[in-house]
Amino acid sequence: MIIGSQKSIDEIWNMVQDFKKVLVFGCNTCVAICHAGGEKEAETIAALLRMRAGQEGKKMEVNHLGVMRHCEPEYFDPVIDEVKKYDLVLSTACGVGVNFLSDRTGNVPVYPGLNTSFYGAVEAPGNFVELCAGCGNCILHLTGGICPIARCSKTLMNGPCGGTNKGKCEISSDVDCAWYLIVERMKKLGALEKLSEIQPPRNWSTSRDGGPRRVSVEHIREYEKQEEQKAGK
Amino acid sequence: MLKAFESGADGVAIVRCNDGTCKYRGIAHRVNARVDRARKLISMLGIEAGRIEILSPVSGGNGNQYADVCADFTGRIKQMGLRNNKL
Ligand code: SF4
Ligand code: SF4
Repeated sequence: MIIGSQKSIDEIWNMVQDFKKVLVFGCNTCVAICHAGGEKEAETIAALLRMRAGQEGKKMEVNHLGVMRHCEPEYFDPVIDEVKKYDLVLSTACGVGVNFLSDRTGNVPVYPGLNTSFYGAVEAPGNFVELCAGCGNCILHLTGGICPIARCSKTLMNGPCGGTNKGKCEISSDVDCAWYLIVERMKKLGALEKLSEIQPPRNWSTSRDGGPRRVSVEHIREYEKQEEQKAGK
Repeated sequence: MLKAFESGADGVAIVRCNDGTCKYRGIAHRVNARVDRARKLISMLGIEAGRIEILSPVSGGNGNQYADVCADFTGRIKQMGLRNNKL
């Protein structure tokens, strides 16, 4: 899932202070799980903003709302007319949600309440770790299920650098060396010899370097087109 | 807790059972964590963290003791003075 963390109340206040009617709009999927942007957090931010407005002597109406996702219209369509009644939407969704919603709110700006950080997992309650960088060409079958792109600080593809130190990465003794983990895992899987296969330089065009990406699922698109034709659209 | 401050409270007391006496297991640390979080949040607005306190009388059913801890709390908040940055 997508992991984010809340911006400080000072930063949020600086963004919103000139608006009269603000909606703090929560997203109840990924960012709710990492305690950053669900409806509960939206409610808290709204309360803090109301108090801050009071302290600064500013007249500002601040409310909150939450829907399951900001990245799929079916979830926010039922409330979009309500959303458009505000001067500003402070979305506590990830950056995807902010982008997506922003295209659909007409003249109402959508500002980010979070810093979107990475794709990660829940290592322990309250601990979230980055495990995939969405490179578009997965090689986890070659590395024992441990991603050298997201988890090696240098994104090395053919074994560790010289800085690996007793299982830790040279950037910090708090960071595991991904290649140490990969080697140990491959030993356990009895597949260590697979690592002697040299990985050629990667084609990063499937990743960020290829420009904005899009995935189309053909049979779904085909079905949708037929439905649209039937409906005479 | 935030709602109380938003409504102008000068202090907020969270009353919970004493550690180990609550019929719900493991509740104390959850209450503590929430209170810590709320204290951090009000600090961001310049409201003293000490204006939120956890009170734990031996039992909510013990009226006198309950009244005593509440009175002590009120005394401490009075000593801190009124919040100067109310809405
Ligand atoms: S190889 Fe690419 S897709 Fe696979 S886990 Fe790593 S970053 Fe993600
Ligand atoms: S120490 Fe390990 S994780 Fe860190 S950069 Fe080197 S190989 Fe990558």
